[in-house]
Amino acid sequence: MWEEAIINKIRAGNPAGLEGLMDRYLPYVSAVVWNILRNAMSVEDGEEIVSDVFLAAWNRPEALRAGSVKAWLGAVARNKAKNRLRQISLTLPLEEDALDIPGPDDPPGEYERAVERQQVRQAVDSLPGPDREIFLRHYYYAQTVQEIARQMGLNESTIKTKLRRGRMKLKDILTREGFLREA
Amino acid sequence: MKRNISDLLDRYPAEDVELGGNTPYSPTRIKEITMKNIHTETKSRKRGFKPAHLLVAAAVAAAFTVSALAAGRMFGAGELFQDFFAAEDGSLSQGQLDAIDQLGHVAGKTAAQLPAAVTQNGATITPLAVIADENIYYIRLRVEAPAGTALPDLDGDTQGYYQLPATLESPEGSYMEFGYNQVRTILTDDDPTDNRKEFVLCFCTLEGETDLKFNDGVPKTLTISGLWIQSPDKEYTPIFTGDFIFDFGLSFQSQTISLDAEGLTWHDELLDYTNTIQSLSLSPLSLTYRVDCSLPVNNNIGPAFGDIKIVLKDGTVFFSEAQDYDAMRQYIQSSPVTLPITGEPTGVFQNYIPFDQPLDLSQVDYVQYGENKIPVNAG
Repeated sequence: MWEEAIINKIRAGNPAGLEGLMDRYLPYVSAVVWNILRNAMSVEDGEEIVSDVFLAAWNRPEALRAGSVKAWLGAVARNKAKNRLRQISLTLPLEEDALDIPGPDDPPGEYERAVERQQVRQAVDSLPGPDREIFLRHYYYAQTVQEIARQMGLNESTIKTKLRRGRMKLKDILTREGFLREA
Repeated sequence: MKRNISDLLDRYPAEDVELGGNTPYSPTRIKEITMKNIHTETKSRKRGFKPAHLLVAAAVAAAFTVSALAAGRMFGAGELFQDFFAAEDGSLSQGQLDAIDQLGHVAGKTAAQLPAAVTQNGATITPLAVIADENIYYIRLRVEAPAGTALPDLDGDTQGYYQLPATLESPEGSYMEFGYNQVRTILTDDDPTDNRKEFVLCFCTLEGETDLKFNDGVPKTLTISGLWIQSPDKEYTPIFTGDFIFDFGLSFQSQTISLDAEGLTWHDELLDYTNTIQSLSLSPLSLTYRVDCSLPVNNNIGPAFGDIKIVLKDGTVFFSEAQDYDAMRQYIQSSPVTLPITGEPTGVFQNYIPFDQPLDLSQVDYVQYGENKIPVNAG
C-alpha cells in the first residue's frame, strides 16, 4: 500500500514521492553501493552514485512495481556501482570470483544469455536457505567473508565452505549447459 | 571460458537481505544532491552567450502563436541546438552545425514530421527538434505554461529549480533491455516575464547494459507529466500537470563512419595487457569501440579502453583520454594485487564515449589510439 502510494506520486511527477522513497531505502541503497566501492572511490563519488539510483527511479517510474521496489533499487545500485568500478578499471575483490566453465569463447548471443540467466537462477535457488543467503551476500552484495560471519553469527571457515559449495553448484549447472551448447 | 560469478548474478532478482552496517555516506548530502539534481539535470544555463540568430528566433516565437513551426521553417537542427552545445564554449563551427542538421529533424522543416504540440490544462509542450545517433538522443522542447503564468529564470540557491519529469518508452518487445540515463537542461530565456521556457532532454543508452538504439526508427514515446518548481526548502509547487505524450517514430540519417582500425592495439604499460580493436566508429555525437582485451580476469582490476585522442585538421585536439597510471599505482599499493596478473583473458567488450560538443567529421585528421595513428577521411 505504501509502495503503491509512493510509486503513484513519482509517476505523477511529485518530488515528495522521491523523498519518501529515499527516507525508507537510503540506508539500504547506500550499503549496496558502499559494499561494492569501498575505498576505491571518494565518499563524495559514492554518494553521487547512491543519488543516481534514486534519480533512476524518478526518471523511470514505469520500472517500479509495488512489492519489489527495494529489489529494483538494489539491482540498479549494484549495476551502477559495478559499472563505475569498471570505468576506473577495477573489479570486485571476491573469493574465487572467476569460474572456469567449458564452452565456446565467443560472446554469448541473446538466447544463450537468457538460458544462462535461467541456469544461474536455478543454481542459486537450489541452495539451502542459509547457504543461498551467504552466496548472495558475498557474490551479489559484495560483503566480505568477515562481514557475513559477523552478521550471521557464523565463523569464517563455515562461510568459506558454503561459498565453495555454491560455486560448485553453479559451475556444475553451467557446465552441463555448456555441454548442451557444444553438442 | 572464464566467467565472473558476480557478473553472472547481474540479472539475478535481488533478495531482500538486511545488509546492516554503517557506511560513510551522508544521507543528508545524498538527499540534497538528488533533489537538486532533478533540476541540475535541469540545470540553468548561464545568461550571456546568445547567438544573434537565436535572438531573431525568439522574436519570431513571440510574434507567432505556433512558434515551433515558425522557428522550424527558419532554422535547421544545428542552429536550434547551438545554444545548448555551445553555451559554455562559444559558438559552433559551420561544419558542426551542418553535422547536427544532417542528424536531426526539425518541426515543420524535414520530411519526417515531429509529433504535434500537446495542450492540457492550459499548458502546451511543443517538440522543436531532435537529433540522435545510436547512443544518444537529444530532444528540444518548448514549454508554455497557462496564460498569465510567468516562467522566470530561477536562481537555484535562492529560488529553486524547474522540474520537467519525463520518461521514454518503446513498444513492448522492441528491445531485450531498454536502459537509459537522462539529463535535462533549461536553456537561457530571453524574456523571463513570459510563460515560455525551452528545455533539451538528453537520453543516453546505458553502456554495455542495453540493446536500445536511438536512431533505428523504432518508435520512442516521450511522456512528460508537467512542470514543477522545487524551492530551496524542498517544497514542491506544480506549475501545471498533465499527460503530455509524444510518439517519435523517426529514423535518423546515420552519420557514423567506421575507421580502419581493426587489429590495432594499445598496451597498458603498468598492468601489461593489450587491447586489440575489433571495430571503431565515429559519429558527430559519440565514439563507439569494440575491443578484445588480454587483461587476465581477476578479482581486483578490470580493463580500460586505453589512450585515445581525436585530432582535427587544424591540429586542435577535439577529445583526449588517457590511462591514469599514478592512480592505478596508488590503488595497487593499497590492494592485494600482485603483478603480473595471470589467468584467462577478459575477451571482447563494447562501449562508447559521448562528446560534449558535436564533432565535424569532415574536419577530423586522425584518431590516435596508443601509438597508432588512424587517418580519418570523412570527405
